[in-house]
Amino acid sequence: MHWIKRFSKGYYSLFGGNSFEAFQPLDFYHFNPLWYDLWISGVAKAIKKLGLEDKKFSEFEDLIPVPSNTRTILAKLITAYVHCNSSKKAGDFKTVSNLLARTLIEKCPDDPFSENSNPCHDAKEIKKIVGSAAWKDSSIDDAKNIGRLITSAGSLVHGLYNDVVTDFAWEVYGPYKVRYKNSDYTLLIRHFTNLKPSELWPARYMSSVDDIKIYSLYQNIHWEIKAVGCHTISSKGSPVESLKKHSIVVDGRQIGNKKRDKLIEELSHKARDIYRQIKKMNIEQIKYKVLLQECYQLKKLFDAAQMSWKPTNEIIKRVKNKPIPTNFLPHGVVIKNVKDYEKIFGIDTFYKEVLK
Amino acid sequence: MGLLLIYLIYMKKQKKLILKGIAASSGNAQGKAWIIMPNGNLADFKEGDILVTTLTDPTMVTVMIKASAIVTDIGGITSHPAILSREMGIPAVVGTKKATKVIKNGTSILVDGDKGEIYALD
Repeated sequence: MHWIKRFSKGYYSLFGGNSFEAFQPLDFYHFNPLWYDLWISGVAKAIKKLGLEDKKFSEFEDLIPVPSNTRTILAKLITAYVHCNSSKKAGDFKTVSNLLARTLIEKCPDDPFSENSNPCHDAKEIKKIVGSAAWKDSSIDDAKNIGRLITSAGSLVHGLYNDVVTDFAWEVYGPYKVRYKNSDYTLLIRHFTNLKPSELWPARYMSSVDDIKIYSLYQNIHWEIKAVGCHTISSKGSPVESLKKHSIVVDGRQIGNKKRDKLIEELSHKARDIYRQIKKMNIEQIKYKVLLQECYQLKKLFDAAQMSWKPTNEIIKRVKNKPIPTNFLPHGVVIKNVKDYEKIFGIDTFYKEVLK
Repeated sequence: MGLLLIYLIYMKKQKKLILKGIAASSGNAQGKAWIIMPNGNLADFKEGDILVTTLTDPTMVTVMIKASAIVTDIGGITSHPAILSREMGIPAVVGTKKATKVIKNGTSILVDGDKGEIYALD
């Protein structure tokens, strides 16, 4: 099966049963076709310049964002290609999409397109994590406070990156079946990263920490991750009642309850303040911010290729004072099956025109 | 815990079903409803109140972490208010289409996150 069919199944699992209506601060699926072809050509140029297509995955793994973010770039570039009215270069889309798909297949071989999970650690890595984490027993209050920490950190990510590239800074790995001290658990690893993007926002909106990892051991709950980690779904149990052990690591150091509660306070206020600022922006300012957020996610790749990661003047000109189309994603309509998804997102068109 | 459950079941039988939506995070909670819009006034929201909004956004996070339940007009079970409510262990009903119009600010409501139902208690 070609990777795009597997991708399609994974991404449909995210959208199936849902409708499109909640993108903030703008509908990027409609916005991106205005300019994405230019950015993708830049990405393809960086890939060629670095010779990544001929390199081993381990040689460029660090240049590509976390798996959920990689999947969202794929989803966006496919839709942008199909709905772009400019003279797009199919070869550039092929270069970029094949490299991103290869990254996912090599990094997450068990479920690369996240149909049900996001397993990106091998058995050896999992054993090391479970064996070395400083686990604490979790009370109901601990679990609720971890939920509040996730809410605060996740909301800050939504401020820093909006719905635009949320997954760049909010990833969830797992679920992994593990054994610890003669008992069976399900391990989830929530990872908030890139919390200090000084190239995107003034220092006053920045978190005091850059990286938060929350390791959680659960019992009697079923977890699923569909396409993107921040949309983790639980069933057959409550995340609060099922949490048995946890460990919170901030910038590489384990933290206790006092620091956790301070972080909840700090991150929730930063999230509120940054989003209030976003709400004050006019549409042209928001469009420019979205360009920066989108381009920033592949900054490491551009840096490695010694190219500017920022949106080019041509990209800025393409979107400035241009209305955002509203013509292809049916807002408010529930996506009922994979065929609906493939039609709306142009999966078959992309396969025929770009990949075949 | 058992007494609270019996009380909530009793209250639910006594009161009026006013709204249905998608059951997004299980559990029952009752409290004072506050309709909060983006950039709205958050000062009156107290620990245990119920957040009612069109769709949660980060301007509301300081009240989300105090709320005993969340009700929204739009969103599905994978929307962020749904996911975050489950993580915090509070009930949520999303996709009601008209919660911000039907629910009166400051009134007591009961949110049934298992059935996706909202009851007026006043």
